[in-house]
Amino acid sequence: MQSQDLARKAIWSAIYLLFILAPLFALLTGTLPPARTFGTEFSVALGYSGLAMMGLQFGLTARFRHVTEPWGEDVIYHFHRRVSLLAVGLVVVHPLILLAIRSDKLAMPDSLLEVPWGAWFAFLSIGAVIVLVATALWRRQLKIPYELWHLSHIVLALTAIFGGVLHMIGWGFYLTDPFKRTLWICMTIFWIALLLYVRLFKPLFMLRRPYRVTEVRTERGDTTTLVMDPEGHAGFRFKPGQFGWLNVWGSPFRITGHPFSFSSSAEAANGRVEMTIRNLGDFTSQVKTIAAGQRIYLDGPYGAFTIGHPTDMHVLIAGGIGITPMMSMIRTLADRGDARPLVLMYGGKNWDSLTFREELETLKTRLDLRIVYVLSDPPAGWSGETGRIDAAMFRRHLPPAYADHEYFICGPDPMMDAIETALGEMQVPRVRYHSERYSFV
Amino acid sequence: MRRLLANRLVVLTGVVVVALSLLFAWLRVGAPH
Repeated sequence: MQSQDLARKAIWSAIYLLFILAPLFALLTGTLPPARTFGTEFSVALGYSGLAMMGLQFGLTARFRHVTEPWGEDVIYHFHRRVSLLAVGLVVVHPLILLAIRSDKLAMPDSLLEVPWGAWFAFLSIGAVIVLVATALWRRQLKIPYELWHLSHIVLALTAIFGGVLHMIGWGFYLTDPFKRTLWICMTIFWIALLLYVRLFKPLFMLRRPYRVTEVRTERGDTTTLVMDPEGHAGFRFKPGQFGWLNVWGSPFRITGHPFSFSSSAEAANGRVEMTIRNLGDFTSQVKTIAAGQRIYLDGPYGAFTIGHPTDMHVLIAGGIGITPMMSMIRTLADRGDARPLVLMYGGKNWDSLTFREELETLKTRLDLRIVYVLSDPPAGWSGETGRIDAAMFRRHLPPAYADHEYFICGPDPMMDAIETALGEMQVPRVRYHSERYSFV
Repeated sequence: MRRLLANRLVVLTGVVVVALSLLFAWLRVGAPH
């Protein structure tokens, strides 16, 4: 399985690089205009590569299951964010190199009217990417509402890409060749098609496959479970631990969906799925107002976070509402009559806020399941674990062959960082622990 | 750790793209003078 994943990662990485570099090297085919200096050609190559990387950003966020599965959605989103800095860097370095080598192409004309139109599009493109990156990096500090930001993000990306392509065509050096010009126009159409796929075709598909909220359950810890049944279709199969994008109000064309783990058993009948959502003050504060009968749209399943090898001990480490994917795993294993040993280390603020506490106790009778509750604010007389989950706590509760267990971690980012550090201290190889971070929106 | 993986992929992409951009320039005009 791991070697298969590795092969898929290698293939998709190669395809990604091919889509960046093949259109660049295609410029070297056919009849070529006279070569310029090394610095000029290098800077031009960076500009073309940077633009191709920007275009492929639409592919990274297009939610292609086959592409994201080997890594996990969170890795792809983080890559999308970081690689944008690289792409912008390449695009900005392109004119800076030309300035540094004092290219005569950058000599300022006497009047703005004499500036070639290809250059205006370069200004437009670079300006758009700088604003795009600045608003993405400092959206919260700039207090831009998420939905407005998302829309402006797409508009700025399109401006940057169209500006870049028109700059290349306007400059007319390599792209005076009709074949090369057509190739780069086709590339642009391809990038736009990636955007249309996720913003138009996918919502159209979802529109034909709606769900209906059939029950709204109040859970411990200011948390609500939505029970959702497919309406007029069979629904989808998911693996326990995976998540979906929930769109409650409005049409599936609405730009903002919300990712939540499925908390129900993957063996539930009739395509029924459940999501359990804690009130964290944003969109989640409105979930409890959803009424049974509400039509919703679900895009899923996504994610690589799912149960491992059937003979391994599974150590499930949940912090707060991070219990939801673990609950899906535990319920699914119970429904399957699975006998693998399970240890759930469940951290929460206090005893009353532990969502699913009672059901977990019941599930212990159907599984080889041991539960360690860890409270940060324990009640008087509490004799269980307190504070944060660390290496010492693992050593107290797990059989000593630590490197042979599989660890599944879901919770707030600082907790996940601490757990990963603790497992590192215990010499647990990285391939033995699994996590997916949902704070990627 | 997962962000580290993504960051490494970005660095790798950057190295490959810059290296092949240098190759592009070299193929076009020969070694820099």
